[in-house]
Amino acid sequence: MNNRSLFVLFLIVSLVSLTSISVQAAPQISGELLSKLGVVLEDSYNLSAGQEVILNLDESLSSGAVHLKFKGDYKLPEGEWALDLDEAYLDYYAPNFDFRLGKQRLNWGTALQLNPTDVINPSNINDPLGEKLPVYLLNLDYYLSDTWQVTGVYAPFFTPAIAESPNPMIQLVKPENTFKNGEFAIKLSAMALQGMDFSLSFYHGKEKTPTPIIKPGEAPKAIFRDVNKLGADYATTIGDVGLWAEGSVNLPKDGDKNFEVIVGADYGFDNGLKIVSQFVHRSEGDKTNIILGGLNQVKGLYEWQLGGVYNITAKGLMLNPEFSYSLADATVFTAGLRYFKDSIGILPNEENQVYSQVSVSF
Amino acid sequence: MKKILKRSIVLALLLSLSLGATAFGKTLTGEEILTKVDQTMGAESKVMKQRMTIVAANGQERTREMQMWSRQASNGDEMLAKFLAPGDVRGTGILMKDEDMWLYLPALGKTRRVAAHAKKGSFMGSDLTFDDMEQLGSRGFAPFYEPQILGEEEVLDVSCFVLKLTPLDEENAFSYVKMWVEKDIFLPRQIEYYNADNTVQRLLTTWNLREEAGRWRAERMVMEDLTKGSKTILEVQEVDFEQSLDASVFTTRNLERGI
Repeated sequence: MNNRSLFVLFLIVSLVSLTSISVQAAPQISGELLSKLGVVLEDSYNLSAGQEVILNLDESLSSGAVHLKFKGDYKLPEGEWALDLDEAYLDYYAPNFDFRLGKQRLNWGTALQLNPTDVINPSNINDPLGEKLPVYLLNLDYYLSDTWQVTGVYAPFFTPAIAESPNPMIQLVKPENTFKNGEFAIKLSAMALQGMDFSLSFYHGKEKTPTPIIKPGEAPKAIFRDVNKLGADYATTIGDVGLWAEGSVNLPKDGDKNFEVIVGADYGFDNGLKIVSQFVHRSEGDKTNIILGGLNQVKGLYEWQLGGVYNITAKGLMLNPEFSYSLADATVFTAGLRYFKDSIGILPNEENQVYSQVSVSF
Repeated sequence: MKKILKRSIVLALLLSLSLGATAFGKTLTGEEILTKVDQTMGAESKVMKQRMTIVAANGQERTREMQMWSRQASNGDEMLAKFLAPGDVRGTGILMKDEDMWLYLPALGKTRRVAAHAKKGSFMGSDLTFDDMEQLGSRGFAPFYEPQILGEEEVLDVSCFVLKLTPLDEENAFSYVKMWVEKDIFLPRQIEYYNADNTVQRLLTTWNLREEAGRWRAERMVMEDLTKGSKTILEVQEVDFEQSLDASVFTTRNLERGI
C-alpha cells in the first residue's frame, strides 16, 4: 500500500469514526448546475457547449464538519463525461485552533485573480484565472488572539499543474511521494490591526510547472525544481479607497531568484458603480508588466461589468464585457465577450469568443 | 374664595400646559428623542434571523434569508451576517467592526477587506445600504446625524414626533433625512431620505410592531426607492436579545466557517 492510499484510508477512517459518533443533523446538500454555450468568432465560428454539475454534501459534527464536493462535467461536441471527487475534508474545531484534513483548496492573498502568495494549490492550466486544483493537505489555523493567527500547512503528496509532458521528446520527472518531498508552508496573519490586514508567509516545496533540463549526452527531461518562497500581503482603506499589495520572492534551488508584486485599488461611487485597478510586475524572464482593471455595477436584477487586461510588455489587450440577469431566485443568466488584441500571456486559449451561461444554485 | 378659585384655575392651567409640553415633546430635544430611538432599536446584543424580499420595479421578487449577530461594544459596534438562502448567496458572510468591513464569498474561499465606500453601496442587491443595516440594526442614528425637532404629525394613524436629521458627514449620499417617531414607544414609523434636489429618494416604513420583554420592535420594514420604483421588505423571523455575544463571535474565523 503506497503513501497516498494510506493517507486516503486514514482520511476515510477519520471521517467515518467522527461522523458515526457525533452527527448533529441530516447532511446538507447544495450545489450548482451550469449550462454553457460559446462561439469562437474566428474562421469557422466553432460552437462549444457544456454542462457542469457541482454537488456539495456537508455534515455538521459536534466540534467540526465533513465536506464532500463532487464535480461533473459534460462537454459538447466531444460528448465526454468526467466525474470527480473534487474536495473531501474533515474539519475539527477547538477553542483556539481549526484543523482541516483532506483534499482541499487554500486561497491565500489579498489581490484579485492573481495571487503570488497562493502557492499551495497548483493553477489549472486550462483556466489559470479560475479555481485551482485541489490538493491533499493538513491545514492548521491557530488563533493567537482575535487579531493574530498562525497557519501551518503540510502537503504530503506533490500535485503538479501539468501531469503529462506536453512534448513526448521530453521526459517529465515527477518527484517520489516521500516525506522529504512533501511541501510545507507557514503564515502569520493579522486582521484589523490599526485598520489594516497583513500576512507574512514562507513556503518550501516544488515549483508546480516543470523546468526543462538539457545536458549533453542525456535525454532531455523536465523536473519540478525545489523552491523556497517568501510572501507578504497587505490591505487597508484610505478615505473611501480600498488599497492592497501582495508579493513573493521565489528562490529556486537551481535557478535565479525572481519576484512578483501586485498593487491594487478600488473605489465605489454613490450610484453603485465600482472601479478596480491592479498592476502586476513579474521579474522572471522578460520582466512582464500587466494592468488589470474593471468596472462593475449592480442595478436591481441585473449586473454589468467591463474587465480588461493589458500586458504592457507584450502590448496585448483583452476586453471582457459581461452582463448578468437574475431570472429567478438562485438562477442567473450571463452573457459576455472575450476580445483579444495580441496576446496577454495569461490565458491558454486567447480566441475572440462570445459566451453565455445559465446557472442554477440549490 | 374667588381668589382661591382663580389661583386653582391658574395652577391647573400651568400644570396642564406643563404636562402637555412633556407629552407633546416640547421638553424633549431632538437629541433626546433620537437617543431614545437608538435605545429602543439598539440592543447590547442581538441574534436575528431575517427574510429579505427584493421587489424590482417590474414587480419581480427575489428573496434572501440571513442570520445576523450584533452587539454594542466599547470600541465600536460589531455585526456579523451570514446568508442562509437561496443557493447562489448561501454562505456569503459580512463582518463589520466599527469602521472595518470584510466580505467572505464561498466561491472565492477567502475573506477580503472591503473599502469604506462599500458601506454606501447596495446591501446584497437590495434597496438598503450597508450603512442602513448598521443604523437600523445596532449603531443607531445619533452617531451620524444632528437632529432637529420639527413638530408633531400623525403618520400611519399614530401620533409622531417629526425630526429632521442632518448628516454629520458631508459626503453622505443624502442631504437630510426626515424621521417620524411614534411618541409612546420611540420607534421610527417612517423615514424619508432626501437627495441634493430636496426630493424624497427613499422611503422607509415600519410595520407589525411588537413588544417583547419590554422592548418594542418592528417585525417588518419596507424600504422603497422612489426613483427606481423598487422596494425591499425586511421581515424578522426570529430574534433573541438575551444571548450573550462576546468579541470572539465577530471574527473572520466565524465569518468563514459560521457559528
